[in-house]
Amino acid sequence: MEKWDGASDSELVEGLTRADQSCLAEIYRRHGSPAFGLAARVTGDRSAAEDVVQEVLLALWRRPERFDATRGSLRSLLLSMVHGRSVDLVRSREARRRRELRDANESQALSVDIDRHAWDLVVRDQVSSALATLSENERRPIELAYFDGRTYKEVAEMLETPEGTIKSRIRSGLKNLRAALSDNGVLELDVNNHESFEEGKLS
Amino acid sequence: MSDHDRVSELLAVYALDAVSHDESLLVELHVAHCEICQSELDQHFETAGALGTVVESPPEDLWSRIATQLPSSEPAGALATVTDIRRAPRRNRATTPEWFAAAAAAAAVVVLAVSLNSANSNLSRMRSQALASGFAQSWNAALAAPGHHSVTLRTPNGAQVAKVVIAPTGAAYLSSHAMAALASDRTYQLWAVSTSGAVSIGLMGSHPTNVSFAVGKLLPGETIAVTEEPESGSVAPSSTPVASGVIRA
Repeated sequence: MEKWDGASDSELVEGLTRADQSCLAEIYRRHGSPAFGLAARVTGDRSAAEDVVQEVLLALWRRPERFDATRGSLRSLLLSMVHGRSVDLVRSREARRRRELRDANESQALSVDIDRHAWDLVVRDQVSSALATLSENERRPIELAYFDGRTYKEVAEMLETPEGTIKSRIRSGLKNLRAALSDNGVLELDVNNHESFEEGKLS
Repeated sequence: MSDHDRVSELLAVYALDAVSHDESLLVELHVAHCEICQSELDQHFETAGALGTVVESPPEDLWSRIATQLPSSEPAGALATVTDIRRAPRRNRATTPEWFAAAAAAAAVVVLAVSLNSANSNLSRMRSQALASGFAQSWNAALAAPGHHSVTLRTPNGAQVAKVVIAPTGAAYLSSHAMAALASDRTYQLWAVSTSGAVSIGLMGSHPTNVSFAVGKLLPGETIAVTEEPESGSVAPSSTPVASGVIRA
């Protein structure tokens, strides 16, 4: 999509308001793989992940005003939409059953499962390093909530820890993670350097 | 503990989609008018976004499938406030059609609207929560709250089709059992109207009955109106309202 190689995400979103399909194609090319990777990771179902990515991209097409560059990156918005939709699926009865069946068949621990899905080539090491700076008490609740789609109350029950404590640990964990990611430039990179994230390929 | 304090404790887990439906509703209603919490929430979303950069190549035909779903007509690209609370842009008023100018009260309206949008999971949950057992309680609580506003929506012929109650917190509830079902590719759209224009409050779907939403400041004398629009909504009202009403104290 050479036409849009030098364009910012904001310019691409602006293009959506003119019904320019090539802008959506470029957005998919830049962010499709992380979006699909997250959906696949949370749902544990590649078919469901395809539906999630399709739904989110079409939602952005219909309502591009959702993106406000002053409040965050397009990547962040898309992934939050993908995550929300994925969690909805996970929490449905059928998805839960599939997930538990998958978990029963795969005796891999969470950390192994995470490793199976490669982090983005550029930020993987930095994000992993940042996560490693968190205490186990902060990191584990975040992983269970974000990657397994658990509510904090479920996490509290799983970890046999008071709900208030889990809420506090997730909040402090995210703040510490943000500080670490800011220190190593990942969040800046996420916003400004799209070329580094281009994993998606158009057929 | 105040609502602000309670919501503050929930912002991080909300950003991870790790809260209950009730808690989602609480957060969404609060951050609609609390810039401090909205700012913290934006930061949590950004951090979660970095956390979520798990890369896996999608099937090669996925884009082709998405492309076939794109309509040949223009999307509702510049919708103003039928938005996702996660990245809701600041208020943006649409052009005022003549009928709105005529209907609007003199006072300026400042509305930060958050709609129920079926494409958005959290807002869908919010809607589901309201439509379930909680709606009646929420409605009654708003009605009992000192300083609430109420609006009766009527057709141009004067027939009553819906009632709206707005709590002092900005939480608002619409109940209707008289709005005809539209075709599946059409939706009712809710608007707040003043002399300076019409602000979309949200899409209500093709056959609304009980709907909850959040608004910012509303003053008695301002108008709430409902139009029929294409499924994806409109930037500005494209037709005369099927129902409208003036906010009463």
